[in-house]
Amino acid sequence: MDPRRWQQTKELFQAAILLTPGERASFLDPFCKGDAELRREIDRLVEAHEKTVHFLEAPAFETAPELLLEDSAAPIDQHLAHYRIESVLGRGGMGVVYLAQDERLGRKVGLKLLPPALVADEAQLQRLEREARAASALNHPNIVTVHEIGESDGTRYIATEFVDGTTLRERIAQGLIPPNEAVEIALQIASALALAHEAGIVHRDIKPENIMLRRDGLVKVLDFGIAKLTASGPESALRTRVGAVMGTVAYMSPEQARGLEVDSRTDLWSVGVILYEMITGRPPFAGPTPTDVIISIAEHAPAPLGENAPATPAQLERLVKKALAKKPEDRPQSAQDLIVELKAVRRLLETGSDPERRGEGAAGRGSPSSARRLHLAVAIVAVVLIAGVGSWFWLGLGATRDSQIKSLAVLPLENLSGDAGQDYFADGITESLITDLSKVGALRVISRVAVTPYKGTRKPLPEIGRELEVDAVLTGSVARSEGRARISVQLMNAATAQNLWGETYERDLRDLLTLHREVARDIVDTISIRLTPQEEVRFGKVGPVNPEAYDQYLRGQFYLHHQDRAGNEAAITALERSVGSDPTFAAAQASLAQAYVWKLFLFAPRDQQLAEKAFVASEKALALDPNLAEAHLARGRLLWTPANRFPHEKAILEYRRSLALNPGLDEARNQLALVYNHIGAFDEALGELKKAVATNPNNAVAQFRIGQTLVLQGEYEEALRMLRRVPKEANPALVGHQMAFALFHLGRKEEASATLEQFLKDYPEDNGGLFTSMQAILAASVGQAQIAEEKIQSAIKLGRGFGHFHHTAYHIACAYSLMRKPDAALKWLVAAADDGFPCYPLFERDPNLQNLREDARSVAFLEKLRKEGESYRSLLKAD
Amino acid sequence: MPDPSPVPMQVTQLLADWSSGQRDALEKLVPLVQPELHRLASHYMRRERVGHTLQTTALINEAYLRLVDVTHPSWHDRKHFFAVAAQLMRRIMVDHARQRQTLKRGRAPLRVTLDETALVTESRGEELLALDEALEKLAAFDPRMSEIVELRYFGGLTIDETAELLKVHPNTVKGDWSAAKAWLYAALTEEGDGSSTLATN
Repeated sequence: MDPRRWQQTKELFQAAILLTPGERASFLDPFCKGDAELRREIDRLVEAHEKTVHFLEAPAFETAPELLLEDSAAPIDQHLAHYRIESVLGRGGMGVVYLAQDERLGRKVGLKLLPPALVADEAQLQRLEREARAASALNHPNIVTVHEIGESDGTRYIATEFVDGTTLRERIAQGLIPPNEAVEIALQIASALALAHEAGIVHRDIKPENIMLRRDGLVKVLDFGIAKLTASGPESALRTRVGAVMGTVAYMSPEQARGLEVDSRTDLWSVGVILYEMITGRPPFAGPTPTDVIISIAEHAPAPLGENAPATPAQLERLVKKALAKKPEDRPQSAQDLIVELKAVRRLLETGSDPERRGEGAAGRGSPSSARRLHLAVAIVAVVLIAGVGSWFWLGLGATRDSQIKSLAVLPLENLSGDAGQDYFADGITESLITDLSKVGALRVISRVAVTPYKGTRKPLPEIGRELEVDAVLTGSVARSEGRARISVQLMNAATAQNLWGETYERDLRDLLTLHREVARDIVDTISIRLTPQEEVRFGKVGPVNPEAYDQYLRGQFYLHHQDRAGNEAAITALERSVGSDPTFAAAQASLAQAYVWKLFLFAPRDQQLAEKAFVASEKALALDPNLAEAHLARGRLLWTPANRFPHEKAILEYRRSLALNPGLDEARNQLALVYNHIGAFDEALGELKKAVATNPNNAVAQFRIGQTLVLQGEYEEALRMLRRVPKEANPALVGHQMAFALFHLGRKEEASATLEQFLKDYPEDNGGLFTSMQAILAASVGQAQIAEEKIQSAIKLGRGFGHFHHTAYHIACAYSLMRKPDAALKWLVAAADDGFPCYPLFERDPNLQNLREDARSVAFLEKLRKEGESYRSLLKAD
Repeated sequence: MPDPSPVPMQVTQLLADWSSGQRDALEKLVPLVQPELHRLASHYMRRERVGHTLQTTALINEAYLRLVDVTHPSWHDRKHFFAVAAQLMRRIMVDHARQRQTLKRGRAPLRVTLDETALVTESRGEELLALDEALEKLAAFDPRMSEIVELRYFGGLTIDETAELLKVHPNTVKGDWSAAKAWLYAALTEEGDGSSTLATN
């Protein structure tokens, strides 16, 4: 509207409303002559005016005060982006935190909305978001994971991991926290800070409201990098909440309260404040107003801990005092320093001896025990409460916690559908559980192959426990109907058959991937295993699955381990269908790569197209998820081929990566040991093989390879004993080869010769001429030079085009050496080494090569190999 | 980095900046003043339940006493704080209402609820947003009128207090107030059903 015209309108309106309705027309007519628009506008306003007696008369705050409150009525059931808000979780540093369902990924999250007024300054907001994103990259069990920082319709939000527990604030409100528990909580906070500080992120708002305590004792620090959104400096002194007036200011460091520049040591101060409050139940710095508190922080020394909690060990008292030093340089200088000191105090509390403890009188000693009693009472109440809920079985948990569960067998889950055609589904879930649990380094999990024989077993549990050498056994059942799956599991102490824990899960089939991880996670939590940050990450990343793709994946997994031709083909068919319906399904791509690799190695070694397909599948899997152990294993196997001239280092790195991601993947250990043996790292090979047998007592390949390694080391008697025990599933030709070798070196040449003849009768094709070249050694060793030469030529012919020829080449070198033909021997030894078998420790030790050690060129060559071997040693050390 | 001085000094300085014409001072005041307003609002609401009436001016006055360093040489006019507080109240309440709207948008139909307060709250929020928009339009052709509405409706000032602050005669305020209410009411009800909860007391 034109302001001048408005002034005219307004003046006429203001005059009109002072008149009676009857007077208005005669008053307005002359002014509005020829301007019907003006008259209409005035009439409109006058008409409105008559209804505005109460309009806007009560100030906004008095009619809608809730709009001035920090938190409005919770927007329950409302949507923001792909989140559905379910309930109010609590009130944190940024107003209300909601529990929301991430409908895209089917998981619960903590959702914080950033009030627009708080983030009005776009530049500041961007800076803070950058920091929050940096913080969201922190992976630490004691740091709440930030899933997403986003914006929807102008509302900024932060979605974080949902922590099911209570805040430290609530815990403190319940009563004093015993020193040992307080120290443990502080330790976990310090551990979170150590990682964040290393990444250059200072929390700045460490306070009991920002610390969550999970039921299992795990402490989670909230709002890393986010705290600053609302707490960037002293203004946070005024960010107070109902019931927590002046909550924030009490945890500020002196430099923070003064508005000075702060660094990581400000967080250590806050830990000191929290420790003090946990132990005494009151904050060290208090006052009636924020100003009083700030003055107290800046100027006053807090009352000694011992005044409020006489049982406090002197060392803990000193630690708190040091953390609360006014000058940052007088505090522990890093979170790591604080951790060291906290651990020292923890040790002291554990041993219960405090040489400096004050108050030797009865009162002094009485306090801690009554505190312990209270603690125990709380614990008992908690157990009773939890036992009352659902299907939790906590009986005997205390006993097992003492005797820590470090090994576990997951027995095949029973298929409750009554349809044998669904077996693969139950088996698939079993295997997924095993795979998930195997990724936990601190837990030895028996491999799927080893537990398969126990399918439907009626054996008593302690017997199974003894056979598999495990502390605990997980049993259960799986049922599936109409798009839903139901999994029931029970965890039992293997020795006592005591039920430790049990739970029934029912989920949509789309959530299966989440589900088995959830089950695995619950088991890990139940047996109190602390995950490493990397393991936490692996347990965290879960997306929804396409049920069709997942079903085919489970079928594929089921057949993948049937290492016969039909099983292999069935696995490939199912897995190709799985990735066909969901090309982004990383785990299926990895399994498909594995199935191709098995086919390539077992049934179709020369199929180049297959090799290509396997390569593509493994690379696709790794592009989708670089943390797939199986894909790294497949990649390693595809790398370490004759065509690539056996790149040992690369293969070692792939297998190690695979094992770092999944320590239970015993096949990767077999492969790693194989490579180690080729470069002469026999002890390392044995180490891997023993671990492989520990996770899978039925790992025949590992057992065979232990025998092979012993042969390479010259431990022939021991090797023979091992080789005789190898289950018959292992390739008998390979076993026979090693046995012949051991027998030969033990001087039992006739037995060696008979063994070779027997095997050649059973396997006349003699791939690569391995047996024939062994016969050459035998002949050469007894002076039959002509026979030896014939066998050598025959072996060369057999080996033509055979990839893995370097062992034959080595045999030929041995034969020529025995025949005192150093030139020929050296030529073949060089060929063996160049072709992927630079096994210096064997060459140096092998009596067959004795004659070469007098040959100058051979000595030089061996010296060169030795030096190369040193580079491998450094690679091995860089573990 | 924010100004490293304590809150009252910051607030005081920002108020002085604002009254000397620095518009961006208001943006910086929001995060400093808002928490206090929140806290006081909940305090007043609790008092209301035990029989006190909600009083906007009392709330702002208390915030003033807590937030402003009255000894600051460049600040000795309490009225300026009310002018700023009225704007801040408007900003905060409107933002709050807008946030609720945002959350509602993703949801399909309005939930049928037996909880009447929830419904009232939602419609209040909606009306507040509409009022805010209408005030923006009003300010374009009559800024003083818009300011009077802000001071009266969001700041809780009386006619006389408003007149004093704006250095005009109370009758001028009275006239503008009537015109503003009429114009706003017309604007808000044009396409509506002619009723407004903003009129209820």
